[in-house]
Amino acid sequence: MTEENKTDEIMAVPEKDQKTFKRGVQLFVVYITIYTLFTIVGTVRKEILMIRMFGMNLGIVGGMSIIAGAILIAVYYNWYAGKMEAEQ
Amino acid sequence: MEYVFQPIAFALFMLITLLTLGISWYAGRQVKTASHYFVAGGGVKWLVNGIAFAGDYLSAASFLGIAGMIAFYGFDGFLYSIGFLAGWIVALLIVAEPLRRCGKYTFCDALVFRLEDKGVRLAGAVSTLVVSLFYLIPQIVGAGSIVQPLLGLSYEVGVVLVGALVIYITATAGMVSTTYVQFIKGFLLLIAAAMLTIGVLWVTGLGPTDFIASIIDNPALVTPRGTMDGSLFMAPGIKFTNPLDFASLAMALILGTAALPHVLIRYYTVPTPADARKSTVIAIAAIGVFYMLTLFLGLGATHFMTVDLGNQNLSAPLLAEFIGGEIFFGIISSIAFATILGTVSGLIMAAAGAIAHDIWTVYLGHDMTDDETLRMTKITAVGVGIAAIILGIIAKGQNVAFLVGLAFAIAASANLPALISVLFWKGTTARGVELGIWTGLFSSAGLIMIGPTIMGASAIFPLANPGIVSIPLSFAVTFGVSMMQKK
Repeated sequence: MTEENKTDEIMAVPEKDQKTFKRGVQLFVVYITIYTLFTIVGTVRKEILMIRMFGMNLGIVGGMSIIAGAILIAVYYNWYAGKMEAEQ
Repeated sequence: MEYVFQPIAFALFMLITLLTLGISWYAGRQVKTASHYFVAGGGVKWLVNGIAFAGDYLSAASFLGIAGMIAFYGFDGFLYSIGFLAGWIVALLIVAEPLRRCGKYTFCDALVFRLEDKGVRLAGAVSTLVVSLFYLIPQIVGAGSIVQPLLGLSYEVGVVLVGALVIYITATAGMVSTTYVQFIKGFLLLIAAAMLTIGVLWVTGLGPTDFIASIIDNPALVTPRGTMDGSLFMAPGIKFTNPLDFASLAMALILGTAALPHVLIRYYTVPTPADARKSTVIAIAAIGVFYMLTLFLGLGATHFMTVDLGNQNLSAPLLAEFIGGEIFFGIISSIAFATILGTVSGLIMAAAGAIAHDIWTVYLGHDMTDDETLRMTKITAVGVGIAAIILGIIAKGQNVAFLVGLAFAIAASANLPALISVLFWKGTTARGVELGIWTGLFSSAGLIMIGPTIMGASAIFPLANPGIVSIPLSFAVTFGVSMMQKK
């Protein structure tokens, strides 16, 4: 088996699984963009993270939201993948 | 700080440690083949594997290190909680299922699934070994730190004690035992963090938001590093005075998780790629909740000043002692100790697998039977355990979360570019992957050596975490060499 064929084997999954993977990549892009923005703000404009919000500051609210967001994305992605598997 | 022997805490410690050893002994009787030893025969249920994932990941760094880091550095410590969890999104959405389709025992198996090349195998095995050792050091440091107040023993005796116990676990039972130890420990750790958080809020009489607000609003907050404005303590810049250090750490944390060998190996312990995905989701939920609670553990330690100025890692156990006396202290410390036992076992398994399976059997071509492979791996596990004990004694006094951050940087630099390119890019060549791994490994380790962690004020490289330089460099070499070869 050639190297390229083996890559195909790794990625050789039914069309619905490919849709699942694409959805995963979309979610990843959204999440990494938010995380990157948070990091850039903390790096170059840290005073923004000191803005008061919900009794706390934006840094804490943002950090908690990034953690909670990861859990929500994981649950949603698993639900979506399960739905796609059921349709196969 | 001076500590004395506490009999109740010692009794609880013995109970939990003996329970851990009992599970190991029982599970060890089921190990018949190399597949059982390395990946529990690939038959672990996804729910168990998910909590075991969390158990693996919520190491001494998470429980002892982050709580201490937040207690001493406020928001900058909380950055570790955010980044450690964010990394799991990369693992879930990008790596989990494709990796499960192409591996067998180790990270290297996934690389050579496509690129049958001894150079790739060797580079991957050495990288696994280095990352595992860097990750082992903080666990051992955490163990030594815990034993001091718990048993009244010296740090060095604690290190030798945990080393001996872990060598016993890994040399007898392998992944079956490690999985169940991590499963139980993962649950216990979540309960412990929840109990401590409730304790902090109960003693202060404040709700979660009000408690955090009370820290931010305090214009003369007493912290382990002196009195300061609470709003500054809860903003970036206390630890990471160079802003690029903040960015470098954030990059290493989010890209490092999906490249840790002892995390990757757990994708092979479940039967199917879908099980790999489901267990990752369970892990993210459990780990996420835990990391939210670390904020209250760390700030609770600041609020009550339950800190050891000479050892940041003791902030959570000392907070437990303040809230619930010797019994609570004993429970929390014993769970932390079991945490370390489980994590170190997993790390030694990954390192031993790299030496015995990837280097000795495949790279050097020693044709062995299943029994001989098992024996070789167990002997290797003993050797790695002894090395970990020595390194742990050398690293005495360092914050364990900080040390783990360095392991993440090395993993993200050496392993992730190779893994991503092998899984998703047809143009990847063996030389590209091999040189990318070596580049990531040497550049990250080299920058740590000439950075402030080792050289202090006379550092040549200004950043404590090398990720922002070494990760892009490794990606560039992997893709650049592959493209040049394809031309």
